[in-house]
Amino acid sequence: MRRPFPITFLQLALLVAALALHLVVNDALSVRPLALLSTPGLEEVLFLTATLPRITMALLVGAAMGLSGALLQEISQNRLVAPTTLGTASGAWLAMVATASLAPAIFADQKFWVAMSGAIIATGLVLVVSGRQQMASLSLIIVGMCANLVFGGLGMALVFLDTEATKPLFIWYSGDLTQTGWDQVRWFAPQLALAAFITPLAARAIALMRLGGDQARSRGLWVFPLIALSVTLASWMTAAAITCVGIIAFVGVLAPNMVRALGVRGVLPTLLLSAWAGAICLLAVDSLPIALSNWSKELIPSGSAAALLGAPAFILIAMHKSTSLQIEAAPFLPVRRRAWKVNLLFVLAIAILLSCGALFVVRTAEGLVTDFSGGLRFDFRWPRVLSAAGGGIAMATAGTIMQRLLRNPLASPDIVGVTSGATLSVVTAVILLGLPFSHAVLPAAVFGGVAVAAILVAMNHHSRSGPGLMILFGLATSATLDAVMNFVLARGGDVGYNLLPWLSGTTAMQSGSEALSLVVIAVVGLGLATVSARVLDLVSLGSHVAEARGVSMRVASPIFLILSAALAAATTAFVGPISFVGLLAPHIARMLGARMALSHLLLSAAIGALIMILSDHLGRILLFPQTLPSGTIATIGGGLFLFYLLAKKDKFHNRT
Amino acid sequence: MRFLRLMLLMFWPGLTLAQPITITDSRGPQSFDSTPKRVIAGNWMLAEMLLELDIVPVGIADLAGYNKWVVAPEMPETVADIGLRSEPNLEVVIDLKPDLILLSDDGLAMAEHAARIAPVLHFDAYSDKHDNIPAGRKNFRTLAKLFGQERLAEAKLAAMDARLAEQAKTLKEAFGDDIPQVTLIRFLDEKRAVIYGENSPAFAALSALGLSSEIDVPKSKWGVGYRRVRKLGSVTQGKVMYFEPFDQQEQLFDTALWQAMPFVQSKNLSALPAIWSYGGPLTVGRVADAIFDALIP
Repeated sequence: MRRPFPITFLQLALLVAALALHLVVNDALSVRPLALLSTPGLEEVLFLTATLPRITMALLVGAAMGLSGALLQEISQNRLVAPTTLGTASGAWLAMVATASLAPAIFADQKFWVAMSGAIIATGLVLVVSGRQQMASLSLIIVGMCANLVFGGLGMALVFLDTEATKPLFIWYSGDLTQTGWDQVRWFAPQLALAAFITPLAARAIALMRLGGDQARSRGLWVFPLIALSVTLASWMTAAAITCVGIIAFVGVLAPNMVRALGVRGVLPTLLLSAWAGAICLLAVDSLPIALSNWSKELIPSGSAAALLGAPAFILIAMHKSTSLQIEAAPFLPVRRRAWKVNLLFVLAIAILLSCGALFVVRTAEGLVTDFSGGLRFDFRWPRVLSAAGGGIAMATAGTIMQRLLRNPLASPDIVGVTSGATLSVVTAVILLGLPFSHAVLPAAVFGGVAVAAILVAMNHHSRSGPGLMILFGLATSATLDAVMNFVLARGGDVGYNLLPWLSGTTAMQSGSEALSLVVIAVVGLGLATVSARVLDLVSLGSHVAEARGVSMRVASPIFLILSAALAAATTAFVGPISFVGLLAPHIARMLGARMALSHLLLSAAIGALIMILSDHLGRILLFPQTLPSGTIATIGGGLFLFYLLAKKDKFHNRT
Repeated sequence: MRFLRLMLLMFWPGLTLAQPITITDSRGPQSFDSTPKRVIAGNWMLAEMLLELDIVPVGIADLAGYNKWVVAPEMPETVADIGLRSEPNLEVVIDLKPDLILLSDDGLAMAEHAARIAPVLHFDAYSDKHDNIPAGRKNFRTLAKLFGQERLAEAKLAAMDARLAEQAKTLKEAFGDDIPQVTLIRFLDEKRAVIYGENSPAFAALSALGLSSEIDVPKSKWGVGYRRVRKLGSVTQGKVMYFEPFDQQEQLFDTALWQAMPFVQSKNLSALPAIWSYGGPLTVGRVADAIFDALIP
């Protein structure tokens, strides 16, 4: 700490300001100070048992998030890591939703341990899957994001099945600091104190991590135990905070970055001041939902406000720091030298087989039976299968184009924010502007998706930072979408719930003509991409090579981005946001020997269709008579498969 | 002779059956050649209205949810589950061979598909664009007309209205001009509650009993507002009644904050039995009975 005095002074000034703001919006001014001690009336009791605990809780939770964010960032040497970007928070949430709906008794008694196990398992999974080599790189963030998608998808499936029981959980999911006494503060404070006590003891060891894992190990540091300890501490604080007030996004990732921006360098000061900064930030941000709730007479959760304010700040930091993040440019699995044409035939054969299964094998009260009766039952079935195939082809094509263009195997429309942008735009049009869903969905989705693509193009022009920034932008967009959605759902009993099936990616209510339109769009998109496959080949060799061969990147890259975004947005409009297909299909295609763009496009389109057809079929037969949205199945299955691939890749690295 | 035939037509229901029944749903007039026998209810409110008309549906959406949240009137065991309310399993619906599918509000999204299976009736029940209570009564009467149960429907509505009027009179006599205000809530968890306001059946029950709520909730689709528990502090004079179940009761009721609430100090807090508060028109009567019992033990 080079300038201790100004920072301390600044922090104190900010604390006083945040405190004052909080008190003003909380009507604390009507409290009679003298009456607090002698004869407290209702106003005074509310001040003592609701306002003060809330302020204390905001400070404590902010500190916990700031400290755990700093801890995770130091240990991974990755400035974008935090409990909410590592899957810690969503793991805890999934564990809680699952127990709330499947074992309510355990949930009521053991909330903390449920959240804690969820948090630790999730964080551990993300770290193991991304691999120790990749801790400092963007892949860790992407794996964390995928974890958020998978856990979020599983949680959404549970919400979908038991809406009434899970409704109250939404407010808590959005993060709300409301307090009704000192109980939670009394419970939370010692936990934080203990964690805050252990952390400085480890500070010297953590400092070695700044040299990098190998260097640290060569100096005799037990790297693995240290990582395990830090992750446990961070998960512990996060789980405790989540148990009390739900998920508060972005404070954990922003606080340490603010502290660094103020010029703090040492490990211990960074950790402690991050806790301070987190506390002040959350207290200041928390005034907003209170003020808004008073003004609008609606209950506005604190977490939504934090996320809405945090997302832009996150992008700013990402723009500033992204150059320091390594981005792996090579595909993470070796391309097998196999004839892709044989594999394409093979994949197509399986896809056709699965289509037949999806079309003719149904579950009834008697179990799985084949049904060739045709008629109305078939008339409802084929548009589902067809739109699933269309969505799969479109997303796979969009993903292939994007991965080739950005030369990043983890890029895809859902990762860079195109899908979230399209979804956010539809949600805004339907819920905030009140437009009818059936008319607004297509234009709104295309507008949102293409708008995000345009921003990405502008970013690409503006800076040389490239794909890293785009992926972070996508992360911020989906966080904003989450915040808006949670806010909308937390209001309860509202139009938000009608969007749930679509939001989970459903093929259920497709009409034949809609399904055909989607397939036509997908095939036209695929056609356009295959026609320009040669350009795509050059582009994926790098902009210098492409320019040297006469491809103008200034023209080519916006065109490809827009094509990819339009495909993803159209899919979103017809069947809702579909995650992972755009990311996975191109990957699997590469594993099956696709090297050139043409083979890559065709193979991944076939694989995308296959994944979606299978998801749709599983959605119809798994929980009969309930049907699960195919998007949810694709998210869960795809996410788990991706984890498997990434984990395997780590072993591959270790072996060589 | 012509007179006799006319008399027969008028008084012998069997003869009028040949006449198509025309009723009006949210989309316009709909004709039925005969009274539907195998009915599907797309949500719990419609299922409840059917049971009140002595019609047992062949299938309803989210059967387990109905038995968990709505409970009364009891659903017979013959009824099949057609899957979730938001995404019913159309193939199951086909297998049930319905001759009528009932949908309401957001179910309109399914109307096009459902109409290929069987005739569809769609009702506007809960909306911020109309008054839910008269709309619910109208829908109930429309359904009754279709099933030839007008007499039963009128009898049930009239009985409810008479009981409401009688309860209102009893309350007036018991309390005179000091009739307490009653704020109806449902706890979401130990920190937040739903407050019932204009456009909800619960609020209609209050009004019918001549009572009013101390917290103003703007008119909305379901007639509810979410509030933090501390906002209940603005109930200074009247009573607060909450619907059971409230699982986190101990975590809230022991707090100093709760104990400081005026209605807790004046012992003006009471629990109401579990009632599905977004049901059909007879929900008003069920809620009113509960409120009345809580006011006059």
